[in-house]
Amino acid sequence: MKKHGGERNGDGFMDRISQLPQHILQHVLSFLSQKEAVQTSLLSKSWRYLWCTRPNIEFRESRFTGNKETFMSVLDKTLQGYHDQMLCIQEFCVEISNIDSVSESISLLEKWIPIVTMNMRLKTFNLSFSSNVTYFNLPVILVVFESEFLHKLYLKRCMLLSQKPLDMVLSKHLKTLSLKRVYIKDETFEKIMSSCPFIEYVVLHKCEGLRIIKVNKSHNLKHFDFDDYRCNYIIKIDVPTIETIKIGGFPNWCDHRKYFPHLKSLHLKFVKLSAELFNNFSSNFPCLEELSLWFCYGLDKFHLFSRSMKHLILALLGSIKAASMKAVIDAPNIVKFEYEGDIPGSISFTTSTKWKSNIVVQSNGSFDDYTSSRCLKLNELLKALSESEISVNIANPPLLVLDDDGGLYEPVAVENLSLSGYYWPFSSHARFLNCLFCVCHPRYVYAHPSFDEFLWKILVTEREMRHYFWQRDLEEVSMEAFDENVNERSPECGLPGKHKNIRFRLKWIELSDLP
Amino acid sequence: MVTTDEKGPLTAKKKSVIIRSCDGDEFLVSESAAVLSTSLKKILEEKEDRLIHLSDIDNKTLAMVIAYLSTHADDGLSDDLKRSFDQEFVSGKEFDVLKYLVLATDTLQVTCLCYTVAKKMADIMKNKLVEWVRREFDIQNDYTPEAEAEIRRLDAWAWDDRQLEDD
Repeated sequence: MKKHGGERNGDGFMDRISQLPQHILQHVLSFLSQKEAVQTSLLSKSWRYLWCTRPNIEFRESRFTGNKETFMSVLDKTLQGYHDQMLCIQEFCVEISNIDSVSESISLLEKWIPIVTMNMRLKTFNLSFSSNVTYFNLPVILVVFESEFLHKLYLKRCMLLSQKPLDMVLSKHLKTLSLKRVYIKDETFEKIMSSCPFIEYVVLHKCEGLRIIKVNKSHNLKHFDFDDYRCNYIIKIDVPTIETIKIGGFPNWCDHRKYFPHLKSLHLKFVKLSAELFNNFSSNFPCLEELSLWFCYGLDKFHLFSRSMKHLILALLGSIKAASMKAVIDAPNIVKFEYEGDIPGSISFTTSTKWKSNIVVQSNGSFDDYTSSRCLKLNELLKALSESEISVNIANPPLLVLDDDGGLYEPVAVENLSLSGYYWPFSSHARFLNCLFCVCHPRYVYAHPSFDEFLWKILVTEREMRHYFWQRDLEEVSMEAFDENVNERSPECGLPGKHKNIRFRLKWIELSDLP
Repeated sequence: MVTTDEKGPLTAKKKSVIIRSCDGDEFLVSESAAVLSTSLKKILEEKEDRLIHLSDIDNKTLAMVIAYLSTHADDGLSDDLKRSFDQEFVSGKEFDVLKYLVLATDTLQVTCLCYTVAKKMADIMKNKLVEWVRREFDIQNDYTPEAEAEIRRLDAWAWDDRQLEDD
């Protein structure tokens, strides 16, 4: 192996890389950007033309560093080079962003796309237009479906319109189909899906023209990723093989099949759910490990039972929705629970492993009042999570807080408490912190640096005055500054400058004595 | 010397193959791991012989390839674990080690490892100036200054913003 036939430089000197066989060097070069690949031509004479034989081209107008006018001619020249040498392009990636010269770009693509797709080795075709307004009509694009060995197809901002129904789909090996902002009709989508039996990955983001999206014939489909916030469309997924589903938009969940034997992760955003989803959940989704429900409808009252669930994310929009939610979660194998939204109505957990929870309390506006009933609800939530290692983030501070003696609560041990969105401490914040420290006993407190002085005052300098009920439970306070250079924390004695990233470490009198 | 792979002594049920490196050392590999290499698979299909001699792969490189094959043949490991193994596998390795690995995977036709290693090699070159790459790999610049200027002129777009940092 030490001696490997390869090119030698003129004086017989063998360097550490040029001796590799050309096809390996081409493979290595295929991972570089077009620009970096071109730059290798300057290394030495044996590298002069290597870059223009690598199996891929990647031209992105938005990242093109040269004179913008030359982009098209450089692309044309490069493609011509491949054509002249009768070299195959395996990966074709072109992004057009200059809309002013788009007609020129389109005529160039009309010339080259049929040539590029005709070669037997084209595996990846990626064409995107960057624009905020329109879809580009490029009828020639349909020839990509005649490319027999195509594995991956990515299109953005163009029209997949055929005058007559698409009848020639020869790309039987297609595995990935990603259409973003593509104008496509139901029939065309169905035709592609039914002609490509090996399709595994489908991405449809904001595609115009689709009304009823049926996914029922792809028996190898594993991932479905859909995102579209228009109304009036229906998605029907009816393939048992699917492993991940991601849907952002307003379709009804109930249009899909009920039983997903291989589904591992399900991410829904704004989707309309019904309590039915949670009936027989464990038998309908026997492998589901990750569930995230962002701002979904119909989450008022549910009982979730899942043995396979490891990671659950819930996010609710609006305080009324949050307040009305009643959730019973029975997930013996859960590892992480995340919640974002206003304090939920009620939530209860049955678990049996070590798990973590991460709560982001988003109130609707900073003028929400933190009355004792609200604090009580936060306290209830933390009590429900007390079996886990809790991190709480309170975003947007309330400005109106009523005095509270804190005697009503049973403080819950919390690992991390972070306060975000704080800039200028208001007098109400002292009352707010009072509420928080009655509700929970955090081990670490993080805040915006401008808030450190205020925290320092409350936790350290005024502690001796014992204004507050909770202060007698606080045994020790120390500060740790985070040093980015060494990536570790070191103790800090006084209040450091505002540029420093610090956290407060709090030691409380043992909570175990408390009920 | 016979070295068993990570799974320890192989059970009688599992067929195994002995692979000999160019240094003469022998490695015992399960057949399920060996056939992940297209070339080894072909050899095993063609002849009954359980001893395969690889005349152009040295000990160190072969041991690495076998560790890779055995990990990927292990049905007990999840795809995620295998992916992180791949990351770990190439991280911190010197360029010359990667070079012999890429040659070995090319000979043995282990497509996915060849991909991982080639990508790692490209990562080393990424965002580096021509002078750095020349220095790092001892590439002798055999261009005349005129020829160099001509190349820069021909593909002027590719040198646009690097020019300043070069000096």
